This record gives sequence, structure tokens and C-alpha cells, in this order.
Amino acid sequence: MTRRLSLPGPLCLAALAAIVAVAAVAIAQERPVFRTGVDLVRLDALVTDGSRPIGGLTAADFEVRDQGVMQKVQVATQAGDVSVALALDTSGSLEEGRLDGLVRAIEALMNLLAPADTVSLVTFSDRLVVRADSTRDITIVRAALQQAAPSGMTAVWDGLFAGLSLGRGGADRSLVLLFTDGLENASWLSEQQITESVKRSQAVIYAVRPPEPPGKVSVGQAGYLEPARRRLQQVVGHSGGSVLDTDSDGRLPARFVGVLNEFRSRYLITYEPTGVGRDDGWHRVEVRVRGRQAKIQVRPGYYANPR
Amino acid sequence: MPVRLRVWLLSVAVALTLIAGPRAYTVSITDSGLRSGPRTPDSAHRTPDSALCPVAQSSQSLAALINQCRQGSADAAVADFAAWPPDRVRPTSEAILSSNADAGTLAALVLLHTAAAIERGEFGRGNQPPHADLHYPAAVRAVRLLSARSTSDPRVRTFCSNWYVLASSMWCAGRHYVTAAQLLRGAKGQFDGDAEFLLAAGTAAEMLMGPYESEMEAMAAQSGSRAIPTAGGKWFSGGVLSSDRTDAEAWLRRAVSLSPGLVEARLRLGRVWCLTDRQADAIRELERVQQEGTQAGHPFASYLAATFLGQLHQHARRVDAARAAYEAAIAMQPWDRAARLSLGQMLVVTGRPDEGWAVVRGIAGAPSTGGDAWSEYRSGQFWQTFDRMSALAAWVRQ
Repeated sequence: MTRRLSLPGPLCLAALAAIVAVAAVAIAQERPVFRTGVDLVRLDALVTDGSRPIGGLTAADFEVRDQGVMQKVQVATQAGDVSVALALDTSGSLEEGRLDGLVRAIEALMNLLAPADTVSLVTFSDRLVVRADSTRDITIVRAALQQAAPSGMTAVWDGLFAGLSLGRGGADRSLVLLFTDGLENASWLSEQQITESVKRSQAVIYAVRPPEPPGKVSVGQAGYLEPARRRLQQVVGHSGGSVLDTDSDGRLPARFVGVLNEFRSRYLITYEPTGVGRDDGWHRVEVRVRGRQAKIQVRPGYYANPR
Repeated sequence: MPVRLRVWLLSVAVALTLIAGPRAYTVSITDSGLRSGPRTPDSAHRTPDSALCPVAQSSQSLAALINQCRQGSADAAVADFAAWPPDRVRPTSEAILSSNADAGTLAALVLLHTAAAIERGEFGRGNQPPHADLHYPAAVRAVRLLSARSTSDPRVRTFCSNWYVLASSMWCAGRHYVTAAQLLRGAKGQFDGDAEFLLAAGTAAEMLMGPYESEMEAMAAQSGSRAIPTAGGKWFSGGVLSSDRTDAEAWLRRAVSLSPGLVEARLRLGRVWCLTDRQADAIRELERVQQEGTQAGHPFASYLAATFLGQLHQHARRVDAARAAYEAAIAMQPWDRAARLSLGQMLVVTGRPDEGWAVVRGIAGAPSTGGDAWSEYRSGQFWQTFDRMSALAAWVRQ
């Protein structure tokens, strides 16, 4: 039997409210607080001059339209706590000594994490294995990777969905790094299902494609590499992310680090939607930078009817 | 004790299968033959140098190897035969097929060619060059001749039926459904009263029927491409190919009528009805499989039946019923992906994302080895490979 500490109702609520208020102020002073849900729309935007990120922009520089209606936005440049979910294709992509390069790439990425950032790891072939959940311990990740023997077919969508689920660990911002050739042939979830899920996720997805060693791609696969890349880009694009190719295993660490740095350079644009419906399905969003040429990579919209 | 042929009798596979049940572990195609553990069809279609470069071969004749297969070391006979160059295999095999060889000789030839095809990874590579067309077509010719010469011998018919199911399963494991379907369609007239043959034929047709998300995807599948996605989560009755649907339904129904206890046939028939929106029939069949599968020693069938039921209810917007079905499946096999992903995805898109993501995160802690129900389902009757190969070998040794 458990004894409970009881307070009179009104006193209890008042005390609780005071505690919450104090805590909220304290947290707000430490770092930006990002609310989620349809009351507050979040857009993770990458702004570049075509190749390099443009820094130093403020809310006044952005023009955001929700269903064509201009919105008043807030912009944060601090990343806050970052949750990185690594979704790694182990269907054969780890062959030919790729595992070592992948470990080095992940180590390089983890070395750049802030103290409160975390890494999760899921591997996929035609099976899903969550090998690390919200850790900062590279030894756990390394040991987990060593156990990931390449085998089976390629369930890209399932692996991505698991990655999205792992990126929800209470962090302010979620990055999913998907490492795959994109040759989907074994998922349970369909492309349509994963697309709808990505549209409802707050995570930004970067897909990194490994180099294909000459002669390793079969005749049957060769014609599917480019269509696979396009499909991957379509899905990932709904998160505001992108697909990046790698020309050699030796460049994997630089690629992974580049992804994290680019993610950190993104602006977090938030606004409370005004002049538009709050419960009317898909909202198309357009983002522009005033007065200068800029390329903006951002999710194309959001759902205003989560239920 | 049945003969121990190296390519399929692997003690680890046997031990794991006996300990954990036939669905818990699989025997897999590899470049060099079969092995236990996670299946590797992706790597199976890659041709290692060792498979293409003939190794030291003996000067034994094929007749001597057949005799060795029947009475001596079958392992050695297969290893020897698999190393023969194509220009030696074809004429010697043809010479025996052209002779008035008895059933035992032909059966041994079927076995040798089949084992050599597995050894060389021909099933994994499908019809890709350069050497995928060596032993498998020879095995087909041999089994057809055997079947034609011994139409009245029920033992020969059993041997041949067994071989057809085995070969089609090998193709299904590599996702070469077109090849599997072609093989079985060609022999269906002879085995129309054989429930297991009909199950295999119905399986290939079912896997080919879709559903497809585009016409291009369907065409790619029909052309034999194994790179096309075949997601379990697709629900697109308009994208089901009608000819394969008709065949799948007819053959699976007949298999069920011939052998009502054939749980896998019932499961696949239920899915065919799911995909064609015959809801009442599908629910009746799948609920029965969900109940009876585990008792019949097929827990994977119960799991998938519950998962398919969940999909059916979700498709009909019966969210609570769908959730109950998915949760029943998860309770049966907590680490399997299909039901978790379906439930998680349904919750995410119906406004309960945190709950949905949590369901998927629940897969954490799953063992890194073991079977996957959907993956095995797509492999047809590949899970029976070991038993079928052993049965063929035992027949030849008699």
C-alpha cells in the first residue's frame, strides 16, 4: 500500500502553478523553448547563397506565408538540444570495410555534439534493430555497430520511420541521418505511408548515400539507382532535408560532420498561425528572405489537423 | 539417417530450427550455398570470383558422380559437380537425359543439378549472366523428363512435386516471383490435386498480384525485376493485377479445400481477399488463422493474420478495431516490425504522434538475430527448404 501526500485541492493547484511558472522562467532563461503542435508552427530552414549557409538573419529578414497569408514570425539561431537519430542501412552497405569508415564518421559527428545532445542508432535490412537509444557514449554506438553484420534486403522506409521515432527524445530539435543507397525492396511501410509520417514529424532528414564500388551494382539494380535517389529526395524533401552522395568511404566522416554543421546552421522559424484555419488539413508554407538572393530549404507545409 | 549434403545440411541451422521452431531461424541463400541465420539475398546475386573460376575438378564422369550421390559421399559429388565448367556440364548432362536412364538416375541428376545451382548461387542471381543458366535449367529438364516417364508412380510424383515447391521457394526467397510463377504454371496440370504444390503456385501469384502504386511498378514486377518495392503496408485494390489475383485465389482456395489444415494457404487466401476488399471473407479466414495458427505450430501465421486484420480494419476506418488487432499481434511477437510499424504509423497520422512514435520505439531491445514475419512471408515456402532437400536426398538414396 502506498501512502500519498495530500493537499487541499485549491492549495495544491496554486502550488503546482507556482512551481511550473518558476521552472518555466528558469528554463526560458537557459535556452530557447520550442512549443509543438498546431498552435505553433515550426520551420527548420536552411538558408544558403547557393552553396554556403547565410548567417546573421533575424525575424525581420524572413517573409513567411501560410496558405498565402503573411505571418508574424520569431526566429532562433541557437539549435538548442539536438537529438540525432542514425538510421543505417546494413543490407550490404557495410560490406568491403565500410564499417570502419562508418564508425569513424559517427565518432567525428559525436565529437561535435554539445553536452545535452544525444545519439540514437537503428540499423535496418529486412529487420529493424534499435541498437542505441539516446546515448552520448561512443563505445555503446561502436559496439552496437560491430554487431551489425551486413545481410538481408533493404527496408529503407521502415528504417526511416524507426529513425523518426527515435528522434523524439524530448530534444528541442531532431535530426535523422539516414545512411542508405535507397534501393528500397523490403519495407513493410509504403512510400505513401512514410511520406505522410514525415509530413507530421518535426525532424529534419538528411540521407547520405554511400559510394557504390565499381562492379558491385548488379545489372538489375543499375537502372534503379537514380530513380531510387529521386524517390528518396521526394520523401526527405518533406522534412526540409536533402540527399547527399558520397564519392568515397574516406569522405564519410567529413560528410557526417557536414550534415551536423549544416543542421546547426539552420534557422528555427516559429509562428502562431493567424488568418488561416487551425483545423483544416494540409497548409502550404512559403518562406522567403527579404532583399537578397537566397536559396531556402524548408518543409513545404504542415498538417493543421493532427486529429 | 538422411544423407548429409554439404550445401543444405548445416548443423547450426538444424540446431537452431529444432530449438526455436521452424520459423525462428532460416536457412539462407548465399553465394556459396545455404546457411543459417539472417538471409542474404542481396549478396546472393553478386557473383564472387570463386564461383566463376572453376576450382580443381576431378576426372570422374557424371555417371560416377550420380552413383556417388546415390551410394557414397553426396557432399563430395556435389562439390565436384559444382566446380565443373559449363562446357563440360551441358553435354554430359544432355547425354544422360537422352539415354534411357531409370527414375533413380534421373532423380539423382535432378538433385545434383539443384544442389550445384544452389552452390553456385544461381537462384540468388536469377537470370543474370554469366552462369545463372547452367544447372537450374538442366534440373528443370531432368525433373520434367522424370515426371513424364513415371506418371503412374506416386513416389516419383511426390519427388517431383517436392522439387517444384523447393525450386519455387528458392526463387521466392530471392524475390524472383516471375520465375517461380513460370516454373509452377508449367507443371500445374500434373499437380492439380497436390495442396502443397497449389500453395506454392498460389504464393507466387499472390506475391505478383501487388498491390502496386503505379502502372510502371506493376510492369517492372511483371518483367521480373526484384528491385521493385513490395511494401506490406500498401493498400491499393485498384493496383492489384487481376490475372494473378484470379490465379492466386483459385489455387489457394483449391489448396485449402484439399487440405483444410494448411494454415499458410488460409493465411494467404485471407490476404488475397483483404487486398481485393472482400472484407467478410477475409475477416472470417484471418480470424480463423489467428486462432488456429499457433496451435498448429505456426505462430508466425497467427501474428500475420492479426496484422492483416489490423490493416483491413484500418482501411475501413475502424481505428479501434485496427488498434486491437495490431496490439494482439504485438503481444504475440513483440519484436516483429510489421504490426508495430502499422500501429505506430496509424497513430501518427490520426493525431496521436507521441503515442505512435512510442509504439515504434518499443522495438528497442529486440534481439539482433531471428526471423521477421513479413520477410519470411515474402519468401514463400523457403522456410521448408531444409526439410524438402532432405526428403529429396533421402529419396535418391533409397
